[in-house]
Amino acid sequence: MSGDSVPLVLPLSRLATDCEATNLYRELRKPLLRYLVCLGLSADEAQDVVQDAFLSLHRHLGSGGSQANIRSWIFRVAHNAARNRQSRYERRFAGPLEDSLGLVLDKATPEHAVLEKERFRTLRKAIRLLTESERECLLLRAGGLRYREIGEVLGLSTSTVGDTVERAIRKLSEKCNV
Amino acid sequence: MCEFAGKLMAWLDDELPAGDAAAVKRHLEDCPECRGRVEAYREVCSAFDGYCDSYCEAVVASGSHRRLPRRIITVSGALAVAAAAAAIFLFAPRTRVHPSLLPAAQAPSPAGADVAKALPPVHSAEPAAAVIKPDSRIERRKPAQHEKPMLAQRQGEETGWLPSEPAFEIAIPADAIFPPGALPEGVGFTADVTIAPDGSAQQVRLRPQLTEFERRSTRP
Repeated sequence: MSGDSVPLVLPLSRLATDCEATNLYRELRKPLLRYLVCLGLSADEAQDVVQDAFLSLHRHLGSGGSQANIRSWIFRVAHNAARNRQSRYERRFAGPLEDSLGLVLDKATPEHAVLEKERFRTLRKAIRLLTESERECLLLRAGGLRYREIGEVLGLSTSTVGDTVERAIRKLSEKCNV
Repeated sequence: MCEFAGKLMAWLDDELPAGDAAAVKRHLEDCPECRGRVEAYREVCSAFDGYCDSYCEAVVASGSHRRLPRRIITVSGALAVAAAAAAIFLFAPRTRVHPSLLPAAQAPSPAGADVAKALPPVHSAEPAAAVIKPDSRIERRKPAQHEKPMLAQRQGEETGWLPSEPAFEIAIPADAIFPPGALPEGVGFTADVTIAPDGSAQQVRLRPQLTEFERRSTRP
């Protein structure tokens, strides 16, 4: 598997300026927020963690920190902060995306309510069967990270991430009868 | 299972080196089974991404997903109130009211009157009983009936006065009041509950307490 990095919206050579940090914020805020919410944080907690992570990024860049792999860097900061919060509150990662059926279905239109309900229920059951690592890999992948970057966030090798993603998708596919 | 089956997801995510990617692409043209798998993986990935998007939007819109710390505060606050109420309930029946304070219809029996006569005489200069100590409450003298206006006036003047010796001390861990991590570890609170002469709670005051500090100081 290749270790190519994802082309960023901004060139890495200009990351030290405030303007570039702002653009990074615009680019990564939503995927980061979605990742944290899907990990099980509340909306407020996730937004707090996102703010803290970008504050850390600002300090990191301001102090002349490394500009390489900045996407995985900020995801790792946010991931660790989420883990700290969850362990502090004695919560676990076992529950993300599990009690979301009602929330998601609130958004569904009446015409598709039955179909969506069944689809989401099946998917939710399948997601429950994933391991923590598989779930995190899929969530980070859904956030647009490359396998190498996912490995940097979770402390795994790139090949392990590839195997984990493959296994997780295969599980979901089998359980959802797709 | 096909030898390329383990590379399909990496091929979909464009994570394979160019040579491997080309080999997988050639294989897919000849293998309907792997083509079906690729389509299934695409569909599952799309469903998973859509599910995450919908979930995140719904959580952010509701803004109230998983408020465990708030639940802890609510439960602990109720427990603290229940503890205070239980303490008051257990303590209040021990209050002995001087016979002279009771109305005629509630006057004690002659035996009780004898006991009342044995009590020391009322001293008008003694301050009103705003705080009742657990150990001395039974023996504490009550003011005579003619002193009641003066007592009421004194209590009115001393509004806001904080008793130096509380009737009860209830230790409450800081985590029961504040979110975990809001205060340094080892910090707790002591609730001073002051009991009025009629047995009701007159005042509740919270005092910070360094529980860990005290515990450590007792070690050799």
